[in-house]
Amino acid sequence: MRGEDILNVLLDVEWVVGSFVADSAGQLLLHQMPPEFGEQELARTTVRLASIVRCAELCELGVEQCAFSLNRYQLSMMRFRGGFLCVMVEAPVNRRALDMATRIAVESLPQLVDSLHVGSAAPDEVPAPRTAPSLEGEGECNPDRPLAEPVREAEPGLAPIFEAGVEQIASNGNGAEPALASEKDDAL
Amino acid sequence: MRVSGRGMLLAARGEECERLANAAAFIHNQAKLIAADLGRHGRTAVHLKGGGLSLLVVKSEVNDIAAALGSTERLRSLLRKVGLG
Repeated sequence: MRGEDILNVLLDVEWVVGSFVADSAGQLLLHQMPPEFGEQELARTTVRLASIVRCAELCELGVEQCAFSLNRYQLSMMRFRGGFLCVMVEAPVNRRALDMATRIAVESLPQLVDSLHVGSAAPDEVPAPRTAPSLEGEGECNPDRPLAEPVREAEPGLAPIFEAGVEQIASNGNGAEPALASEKDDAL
Repeated sequence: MRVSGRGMLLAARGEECERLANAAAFIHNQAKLIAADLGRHGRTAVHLKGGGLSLLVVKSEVNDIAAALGSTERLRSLLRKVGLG
């Protein structure tokens, strides 16, 4: 399965904006994102994601998955042997379909990452990230979806995907911490 | 655990709070930069999960950083509230 085919499985899920793949060190290997996302920005993002994973590992949390809530968007990261897959979605995405598509992609990615590394001439040489060609041409990746839209303000029914929790935490501004304490978490 | 934007520990409970505060401050900063690079400015929340444990880092409305580390099951309701459950 080619990299493009693997990432297309994800793109077929409605409300998936795009996806990208990096190796364990955070080096961007492959991406299929709308043109509004520059390669440099994606490369910086994968390096930062790798550093977040390392940070958690220093706290003895072996990270398997990571999710970022970014207004109405979410960036999900899933690790696999040799790297990690990131998928950017909009809030209404069908989680079950996305989970299955992610599992299919993650199953094929270790082999692909291995082949990309075997193909590089020297171990320290940084190969240029590959762009899945199907997103290079406008309109080829499901024209029904607003891929290049700017961030929109909250819309009715979609708006505060994490507002409630933040408000609850914000209410702790006086030093008390009822919201988190009520969760009986192990360390706060 | 809550930590100010400048890294001051505001409230804490449990073991390893200092280390968790450091991690939360670092992760929050990285998340902000990721959001900016991806053109998705605004309040961010991060959920790291592995081995049945979860670490949640959220920016609160009073501009400090709240973090919780614990079993994923125990944090489930909080994760749902921040849209990451």
